Amino acid sequence: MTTDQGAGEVPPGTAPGAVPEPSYLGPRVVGGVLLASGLFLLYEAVTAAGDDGFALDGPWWAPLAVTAGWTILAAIYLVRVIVVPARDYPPDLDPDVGVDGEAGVEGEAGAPGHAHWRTPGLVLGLLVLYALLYDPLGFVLATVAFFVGAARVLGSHHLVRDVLAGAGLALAAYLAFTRLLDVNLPAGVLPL
Amino acid sequence: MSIFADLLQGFATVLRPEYLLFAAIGVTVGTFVGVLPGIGPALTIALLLPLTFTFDDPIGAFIMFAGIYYGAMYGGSTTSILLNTPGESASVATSIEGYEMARRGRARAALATAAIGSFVAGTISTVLLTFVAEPVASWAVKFRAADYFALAILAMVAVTALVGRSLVRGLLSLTFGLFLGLIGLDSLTGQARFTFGVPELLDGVDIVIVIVGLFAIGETLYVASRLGRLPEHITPLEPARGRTGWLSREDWRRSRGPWLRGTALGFPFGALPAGGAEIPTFLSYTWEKHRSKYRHEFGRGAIEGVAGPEAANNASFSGVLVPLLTLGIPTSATAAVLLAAFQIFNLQPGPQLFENSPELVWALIASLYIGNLMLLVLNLPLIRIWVKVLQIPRPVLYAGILVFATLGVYAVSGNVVEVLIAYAIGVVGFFMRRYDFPISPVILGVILGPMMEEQFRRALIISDGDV
Repeated sequence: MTTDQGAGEVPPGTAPGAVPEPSYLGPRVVGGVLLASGLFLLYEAVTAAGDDGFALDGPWWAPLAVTAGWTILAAIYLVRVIVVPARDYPPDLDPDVGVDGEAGVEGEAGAPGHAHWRTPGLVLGLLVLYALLYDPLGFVLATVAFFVGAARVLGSHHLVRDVLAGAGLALAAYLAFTRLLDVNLPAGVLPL
Repeated sequence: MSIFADLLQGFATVLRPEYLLFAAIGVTVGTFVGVLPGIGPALTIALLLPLTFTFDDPIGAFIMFAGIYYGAMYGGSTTSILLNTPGESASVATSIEGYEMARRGRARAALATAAIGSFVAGTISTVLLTFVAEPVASWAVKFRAADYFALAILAMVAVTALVGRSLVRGLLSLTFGLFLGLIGLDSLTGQARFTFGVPELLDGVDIVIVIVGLFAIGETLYVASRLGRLPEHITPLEPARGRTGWLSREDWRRSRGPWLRGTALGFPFGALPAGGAEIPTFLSYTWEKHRSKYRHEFGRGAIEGVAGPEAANNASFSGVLVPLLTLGIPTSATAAVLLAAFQIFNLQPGPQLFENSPELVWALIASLYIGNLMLLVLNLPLIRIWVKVLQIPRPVLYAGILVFATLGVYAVSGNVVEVLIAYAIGVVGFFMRRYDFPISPVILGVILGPMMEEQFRRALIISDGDV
């Protein structure tokens, strides 16, 4: 996903102690994505109907209405966020919600703007990997691998503890769900 | 009065050792999972839904759900008070005063007033439910498709307008939910909508997947982005003080009124199609603050600010059951998951449920009383243990949440594609939190949208196209 340039960085030439202008790039990108996806889905809704038309007792008017509504609302949101962004995202809002460019956090270790995206991005990557490995490796092995990786990415420094905890959790969950609850979990490579 | 006869019959059904055991297990598991920060009752029930697949008997399953729900609500209060991380929006009001009390060494009193207040509110509101349920159901039988449609619109409009800071963002959330509800085969004509050639989408997107994605995955991703800013430590409980128990006499005195007032607010709001639990908890907080002699304490640990909202939260749960059981309309995320649970057992809540399976409904109501009592009995002494759960280091905790979320989705759907869909919804949930889009309207849209559309088209077909 996009990274926000200018997040948390004081532009050169600003007087010391001056509050940097918040960057509304994030909400604008969101608005753009919403509008684009709305238009795409609207197109889908129109073409899917084909020759059937949009009769009120038929299946095609609801997709049309919803996607049209989506597109209109997205346009309104985008316009507001471009023209009067402070109305939707007033400066006194929680710095983790809305805009990047927190005022006066120069003292913080590491660039606060980037931490917003890197960790969740890594977690997401691990999740996708986890899901793809579920069937081939089996629940237990995939879970242990994911658990250790995710804990590390989220800040843990105790590898041994994590491996043990992950293995314990995975085995306990596997046995509980497959033996006790009759839920099918992939055994994968292990002879379970 | 036949209501008492029905209720006694319900108790007779429910007061069997194995059902009591289920209730105890439900409360314990619910509290344990509810204590985990970021996991609210709706998600708890969604994650534990696979547990019930092996139950043949819906009564046992629902008793366990009732226990899980009460436990999860109470667990959510625990994290609000001790960690300032409410598990769901209805616990936010509790965290305002509760956390301040905890910081000043009064965690035990805060937790106790929350537990006892929940019990009082739960009991009173379940009694109200007992009396209100049947009359409302017989009135609701007269509903026509057009009335359902109007009611559903009211629910959606009210929730969207009242939740969150911005109407446009609320409507966008609602629209996203409506879109998710449209995915799949149309129920009336069998046409595929928005499936993009992906076969797993033909069944649509399961509500459990939406909930797990939006709440567990979305919340964890959001927490991951804020790791530098979250508190690492948990407020320790102060050592046990003498034999007076958890609450001093003054605490009792100051809590009694808020408990009752909170209940009075919570139940009707829970029953309203607009309600749910957030509004009454905040109203309760504001009301208590206005009328309190100790107004200056608010913001620094006033016990009324915990007692009132907690009672309101619990009372609204029974209130929420009114439209769910009698009309089949869920007015909160948890109600939506309960509705999904009913449907798994091939039961459709609504006026027909009262006519066709009244013993089930009364058994459910009876199990609410039991779950409520069990919650109080089990949890007050166990507070110390629950707090230990919070000492699990955050990285391990959230990694575990993701494991269970994935497991939950896989258990419900049996394939990895659905898991990936849940992750995709989770990414949307992350961005929604990041840019202040409210989450509840999405759930409403997914549940009520398809229902509304079907009712509307049915009404048209029946009346031969006469709008």
